[in-house]
Amino acid sequence: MKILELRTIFGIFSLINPASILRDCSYLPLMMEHIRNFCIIAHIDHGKSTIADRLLERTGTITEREMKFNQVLDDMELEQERGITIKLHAIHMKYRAADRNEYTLNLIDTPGHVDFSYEVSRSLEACEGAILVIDASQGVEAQTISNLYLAIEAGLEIIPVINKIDLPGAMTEQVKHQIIDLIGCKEDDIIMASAKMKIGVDEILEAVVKRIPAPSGNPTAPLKALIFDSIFDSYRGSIVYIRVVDGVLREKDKVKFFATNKYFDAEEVGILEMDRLRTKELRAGDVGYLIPGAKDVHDTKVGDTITNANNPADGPLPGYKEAKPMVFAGLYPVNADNFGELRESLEKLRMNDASLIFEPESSVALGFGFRAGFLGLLHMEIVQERLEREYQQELITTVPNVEYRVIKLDGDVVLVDNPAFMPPIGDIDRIEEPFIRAQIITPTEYIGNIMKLCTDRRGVYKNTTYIDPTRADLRYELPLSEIIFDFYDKLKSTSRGYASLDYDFLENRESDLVKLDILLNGESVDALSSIVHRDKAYEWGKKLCAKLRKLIPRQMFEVVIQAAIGSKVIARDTISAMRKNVIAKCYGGDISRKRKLLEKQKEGKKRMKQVGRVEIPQEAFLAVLAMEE
Amino acid sequence: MAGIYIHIPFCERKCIYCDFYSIEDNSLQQKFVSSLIKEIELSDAVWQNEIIETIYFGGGTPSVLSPHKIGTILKAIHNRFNISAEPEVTIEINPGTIIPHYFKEYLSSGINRVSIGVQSFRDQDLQFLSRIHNASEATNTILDARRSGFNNISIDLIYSLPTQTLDNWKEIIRRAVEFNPEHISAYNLTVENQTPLSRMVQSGSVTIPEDDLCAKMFRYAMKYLEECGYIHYEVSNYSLPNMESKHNSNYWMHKPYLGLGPSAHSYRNDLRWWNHRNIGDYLDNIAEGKVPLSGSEHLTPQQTMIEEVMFQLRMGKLDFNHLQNKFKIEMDPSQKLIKDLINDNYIEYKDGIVKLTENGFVFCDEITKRFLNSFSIM
Repeated sequence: MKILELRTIFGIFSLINPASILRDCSYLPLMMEHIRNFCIIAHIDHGKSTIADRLLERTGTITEREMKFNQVLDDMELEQERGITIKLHAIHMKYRAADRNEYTLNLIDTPGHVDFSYEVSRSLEACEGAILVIDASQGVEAQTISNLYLAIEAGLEIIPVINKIDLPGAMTEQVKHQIIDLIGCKEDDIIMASAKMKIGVDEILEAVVKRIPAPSGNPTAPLKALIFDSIFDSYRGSIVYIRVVDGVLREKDKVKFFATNKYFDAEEVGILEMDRLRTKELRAGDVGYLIPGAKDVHDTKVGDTITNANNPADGPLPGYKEAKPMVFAGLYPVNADNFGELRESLEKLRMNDASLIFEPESSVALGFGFRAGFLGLLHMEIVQERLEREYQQELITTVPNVEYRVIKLDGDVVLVDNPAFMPPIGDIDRIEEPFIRAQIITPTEYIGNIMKLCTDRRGVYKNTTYIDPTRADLRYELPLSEIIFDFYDKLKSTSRGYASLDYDFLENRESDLVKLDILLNGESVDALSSIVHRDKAYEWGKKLCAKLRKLIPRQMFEVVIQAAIGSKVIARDTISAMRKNVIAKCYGGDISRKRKLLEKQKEGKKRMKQVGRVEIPQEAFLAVLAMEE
Repeated sequence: MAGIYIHIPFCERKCIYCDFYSIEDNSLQQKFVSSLIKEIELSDAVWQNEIIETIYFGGGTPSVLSPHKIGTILKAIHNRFNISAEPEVTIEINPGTIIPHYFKEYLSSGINRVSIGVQSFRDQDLQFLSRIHNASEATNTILDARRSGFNNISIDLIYSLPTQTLDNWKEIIRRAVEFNPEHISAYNLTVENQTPLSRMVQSGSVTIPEDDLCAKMFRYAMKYLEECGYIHYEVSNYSLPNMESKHNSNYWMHKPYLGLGPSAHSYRNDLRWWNHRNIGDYLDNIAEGKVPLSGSEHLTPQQTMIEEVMFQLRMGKLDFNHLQNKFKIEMDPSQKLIKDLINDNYIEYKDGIVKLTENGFVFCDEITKRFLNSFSIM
């Protein structure tokens, strides 16, 4: 499932932009009351893509030729699960409703992962309504609820849809009650659908037209347009996806971006169908794109407001936030010679990922590399995967950590995003770490397991509510550092895959934290230092030493592994010296085999890192990630 | 100067640890010998320009072939190639396959060196190894060879057996020396993939001794044999002065050799090639008048260098002057590695020549790896 999420978002990033096709503004809806802007809220796998595909089909947005193309793509494994929508950030559909009027429906895509909740909130802000899709066999999940709450907060009209009603495992009645409890709607408001069987598609379209309000902006006021997404095109630079709230945006207008205070000329303006359709203007209520001629996405941030520089609005739309990295890790080239290449790749990547930050750092064990900040673990995985796949970089990624706020005795505050740079114990007054608010939805039989997991992870219990007699909604406050390793996997395994998690940042809180160093034959390995809670340090150190003993090959001398807090050693393990290393026979047929082994070892040597005399394979740097409970 | 290797792919019974190619079906012997003679005739003419100084019958079990058949093969070799005046001609002999009068017949057909697969002087060890002979047959075979007039005898031994203690091994090696063999090969048991032994180890029914014990056995062999006047000239090989196996030494000096018979490897001028392993494929090729070639590789200078470093160190030395001249190797001027290795008592170093210590032999592969990592071809 994680892979799927990764792919989905990956898909958005690697969007291939079609060329723009010229249409004039007569293609735009004449009246705001005939526009409906909406999104689909669904948990992964609940059928968002399939429903979107049906809507595109039913409104004739996908031509026969494109449909065929899509079907071809659908034959490929990678594309199968995605559906077509994820290649689109927003899509413009024309729909003649039962009332004989032609409506413009703008379907806006929302990312589906907790790392991107801010992006989700901006996409929701561009809509007046949301289709809530719940899988009839799965019921409500945490992701759905948190996104639903965001939608309700944003004042969106919710159209509940139960999908996959044709499945043998469908618990339609039960899911109906969950939905009624959740949003307080009437049973009649819930649409029964099976996107796969094409059931309920017309009902959904009619509900969109009838129940979702038309946009309510002022077409004659100064321009205010919300950026809900932006991508990078190597020819055109940044392409921003916008919802015009007030006023009109025309090509050649001089536009201002509030948050970055940058000015650009609107090079191209249009709407999005399967291609970019250049309409040269967008009006209040419209959803479309703007190419401002900005060289990368850092000038065009999601959530920012665009206005007309010559006739500016008083201020931006509310709700803009600077995307803040929460998880940090060192990225090092496997082969030290490739540092320059890695830098170039990261710089290119940053052009289309406004949330990625990085700066050079060096490590005694790993040499020169970068410390990078990510929105969350998934974001980190995406960056890693893109560096490896698209830029052919071979990476050693250190164990991820959060950012600690260290208050020193002299009152100085230091932000520490790399455990190696923690000030000496003697200088520290206290350490604060980020806490998150977690929401876990689970079948009731797993409550015990999950509470134990949360307690083990230093969770603070808040409350439990019941969505229905069989499903509970648990609220915890947890240190972010405790969930970035394997919390999600543990949650899944302890609940047979049924529990779901959502979280958001709460606050920084003081904790009794210590820096745990790992020493090999007395030399500290900076890349293996970690910051842990004092109560867990002993156990943690013991496990880490044992794990490293397994990962570090025998050397010609004994290797002593120690875990230490400051100068106090709290755990120790040894790798005994190699006793012998020579093969017995080397005759005719053995020679090539033996030489190939040496060639392989020579190649492998490049991938080994060295601290003192001890050679450390790269897997050892991820030992912490692979630790057993 | 070149050598010829003939692989005889027959055994009365396959041993559990052996991964050399052989079959237990002896009915193909006659067909094999005539094919081998055809292969000799098919061999590339360049070999006719070489002076052949060593001939080696290996296997399998060459001694399952009658001395008459061996004689026929040798005759064909003499007809086809240019053999030196006093070649070293070796045959591997397995106790239990041989009748005493065979030795005289081998001698008269031109064989002048026997390598006897004794492996151990303990019945328990021999049973574990699934050998067909027992300790007294091994003893008699050595004595027969000597009595028949062989003055160049090699004894093969295997140590680190699950059935052996260090004291057992000491006893075995002392017994071997009592026969005054000119040459002793002492091999640490190697668990080769795809052998019955490897399956036994995997299933846990056999436990291989710890490296610590293996190293002790190896060290004892080195020490004791040196005391008895043997020269440790390769990791697993010891000989009285000037009695090294010339044939095997040629391998380790990158001298050309022609391998005949299934799975045999050949080498000449940076090119290595090998015959089909399967006897059926081998016989089919020859029947079609084709050289039974299965594969080949052309060594890059880098690969030749790697092999030379590996061979030299296995022979207990490394000649930097030679390597620098031949391969234009760039060496660390600080000689950090050499200093480290001297410090740890792995090598001695003088005038550009590295010599492995006894300790160095125990870690020969590790030292090879470290030398190779320390320099590069410019």
